[in-house]
Amino acid sequence: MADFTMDVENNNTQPPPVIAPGKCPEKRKATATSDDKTVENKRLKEDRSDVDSAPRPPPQSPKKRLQLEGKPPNNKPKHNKDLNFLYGNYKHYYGKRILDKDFHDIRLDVLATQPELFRDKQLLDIGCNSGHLSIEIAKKFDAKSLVGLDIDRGLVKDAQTTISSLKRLAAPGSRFPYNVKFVHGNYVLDDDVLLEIECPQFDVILCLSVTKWIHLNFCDAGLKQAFRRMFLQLRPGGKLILEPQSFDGYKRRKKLSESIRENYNSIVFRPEQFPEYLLSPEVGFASMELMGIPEHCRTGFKRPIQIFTKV
Amino acid sequence: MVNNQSKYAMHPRNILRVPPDYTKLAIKHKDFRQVCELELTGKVSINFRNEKTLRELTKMLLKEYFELNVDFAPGSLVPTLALRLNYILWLEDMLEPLNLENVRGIDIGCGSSCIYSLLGAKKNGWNMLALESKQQNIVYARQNVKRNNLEDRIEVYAQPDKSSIFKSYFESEKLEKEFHFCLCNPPFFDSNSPNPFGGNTRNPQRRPAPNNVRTGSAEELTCEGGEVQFVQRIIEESRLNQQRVLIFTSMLGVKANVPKILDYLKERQINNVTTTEFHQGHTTRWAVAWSYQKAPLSPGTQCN
Repeated sequence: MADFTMDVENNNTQPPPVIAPGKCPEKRKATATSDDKTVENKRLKEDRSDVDSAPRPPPQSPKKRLQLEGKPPNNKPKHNKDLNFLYGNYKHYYGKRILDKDFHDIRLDVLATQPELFRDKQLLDIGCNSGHLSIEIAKKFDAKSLVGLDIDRGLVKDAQTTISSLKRLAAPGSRFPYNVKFVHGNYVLDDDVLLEIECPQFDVILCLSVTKWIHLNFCDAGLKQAFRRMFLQLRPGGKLILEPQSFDGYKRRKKLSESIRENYNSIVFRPEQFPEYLLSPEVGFASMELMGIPEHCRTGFKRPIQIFTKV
Repeated sequence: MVNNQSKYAMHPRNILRVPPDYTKLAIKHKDFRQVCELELTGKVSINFRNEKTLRELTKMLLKEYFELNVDFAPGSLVPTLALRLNYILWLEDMLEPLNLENVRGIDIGCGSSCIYSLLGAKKNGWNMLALESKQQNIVYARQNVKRNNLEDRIEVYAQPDKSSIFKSYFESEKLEKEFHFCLCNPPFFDSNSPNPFGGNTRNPQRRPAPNNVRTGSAEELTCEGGEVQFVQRIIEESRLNQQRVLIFTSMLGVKANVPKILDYLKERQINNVTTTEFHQGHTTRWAVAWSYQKAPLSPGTQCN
């Protein structure tokens, strides 16, 4: 019986390396400041009766990509009911903190190597979860606008709530955070024919650690359609920033549901073939470059971030 | 009549009462898809303020729900299906207690689509006489009837002039056929007015712009004296043909014109009268029905 803890989501088949203090950023248990408590209470009161949203997991969960300083990590991996996170729509994916100064997803370092990609551009973030990373990108790189899409209604609501809070703190006349919005929906369309009426509307599309979930839920056809849709939604000169998960990580998720298991067994389109497909006439990207690989201490999260450019 | 339904909903049997799933319909119908916009959420949305969109929408709905293939003359009025259905359903309700076989109706000014006649014939098996004066519309109407194999049910009659309603037809038609109803969408606007499409809202700031775009030629939309005079002409001609048509009806586009027509009927001692409202979305229209015979037009109406 596989281990279902979220700890294993990082695709690490070796035991975690012994980390010398200071060498690698450590995880920190969330401290309960009064602010946290208010928001935490607020979250608990929120109605989560929407069927799209996964049930709330138990309070503690390991933080995966955050660089946080301070207290030693909590080494006990808690059992997480991620049986219900069919879309990778984890609660607390970015940790329990609601976007304070400590938030730093390591991938931002890779993205920061080419800030001009984002400055004054119109961005789409597919699978934005609770929006933490999206918001950070919009702010840090001074995007013209950012739309975040997620299949989980509860997470989208969280993201919108975060934006509302930021608006109260925002300087009058500032672009951010008024230029950020979150939308609930499935990026995969009900039918391929709808691609006929898709239009260019974004300069950059981010698809970070989402392909596995599209693949497991909507199969090869769904993922290919999503790639085609991304291309169609980009303006000439637009870029797709893709961080695909490797296929080894799919296997442990096939037990999430019967249909996911069936989907998994039907997959023939492998992540190694993604670039070839994206560059083929069926999609139409003109070139690919490797942007970078995040310096994550856990191998499983060291996923290459690729840029595909549309002519 | 008070019932559970919302006061401003469509007729209970109107298939558009519950908005259709346009995304599913866009997947199914290619021409309609082309005029839809795809949202990020994967749903399609429709810009009603575009003439081509309205045309493709009505075409698609007629195809989808009635298997009717309809073409509209360029520049001619694009009918909205919800309203046309509400009118047909109201007529059905009035005819139902009469237990008629072989219902015959007159469509006054059928337009290029001939939509009322097509719907009446296809949906209810009514026999329709479609009157039309504009040449281009006559051509298209006849093509529409033929294309849908309803030539045995619908006759499109070319009105020689616009001044008469029934006159030319009744004079030419030897058989003295009787009809059970007539229906009409009159030209709403007054061609004599300095600003025919101006409207007379008392509060232009508060009244929002319509959600759709106006379609149709001047000939279809305006006439001398607008809808009031047009309907008055129908009333005048009805007096000369009291036994030829059981129930006379017409739509009115402006609420303020309804009492004018009711007064006009009252002055001529036409007492078997009823009115109704058609609700579809943000738009409301009105209709008047009158009869010279003992046809019960609605519960509580005095029969003449």
